[in-house]
Amino acid sequence: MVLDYSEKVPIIFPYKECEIFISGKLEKVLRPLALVGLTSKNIKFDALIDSGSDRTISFLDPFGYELGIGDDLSGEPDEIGGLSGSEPAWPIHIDLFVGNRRLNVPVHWLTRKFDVQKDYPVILGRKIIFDYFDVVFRQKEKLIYFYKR
Amino acid sequence: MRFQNDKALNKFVNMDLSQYAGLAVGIVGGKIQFQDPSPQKVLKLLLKQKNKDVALVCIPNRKTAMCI
Repeated sequence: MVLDYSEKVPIIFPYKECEIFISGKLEKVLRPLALVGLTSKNIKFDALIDSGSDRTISFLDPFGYELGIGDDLSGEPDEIGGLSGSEPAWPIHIDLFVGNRRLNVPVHWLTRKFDVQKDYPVILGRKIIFDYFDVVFRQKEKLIYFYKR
Repeated sequence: MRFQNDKALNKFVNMDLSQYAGLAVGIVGGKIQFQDPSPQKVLKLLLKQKNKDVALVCIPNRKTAMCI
C-alpha cells in the first residue's frame, strides 16, 4: 500500500520544546501539541496529541465548569486507567474543533482539579479523531500533520 | 511554514514555552494578553472577550503521568 497525501491539504501543528523538572533536573523534551477548540472554534486550548490514549481527556475543574459542561451530572463517573492508576471521569460528548473541522467527540472529564504544573488542558486521544484524520507524526521536522481521510 | 491561517496558533508556534512554564497564558487576537498561575482566572478573562478568537495555553513544568 502506498500512502499518498500529495492531493490533500493538512492541518499542521508543531512539536514544541518544553522544559520539565525530572528528579530535580531540568530536561528539555519535544512534545506534539495542538490547539483545539472545545465547544467553539473561537476558544482554543493546548492539547497533547497522544496516539497512546484511547480517549480524549480534559478537566471539569476548571475548564468544563467554565464552559458550562457538567452542571447536571448524575450517577457515577467512569474509571479511566492510565500509567498512574485509575481516575474517575465523566464521559460527555462535545463539539471539538481541529482547525475548521468540527467533530462530536466523547471527552472524558476528569473529576480531579487541573494542575497547571503537571497537566495539559486536553489530551487528544484516538477515538473518533484518529478515525477522521490520518495523523502523521514527523518529529524530525517538528510537525504533526492531520489529513482528513 | 504551512500552518493554517490562525492568529492564536501562529502565536503559539512562535512562543518560547520555557518563559511561561507553570503558567496559564491567554492569547487574544494573536497576542499574549494574560498570564497567571491560575488557569481559571485566565479562562474567565478569555471568555469575556466577545467575538474574538482566544486561546488558553497551559505549560506544565513537572513530570506527569500523562507523558512519561
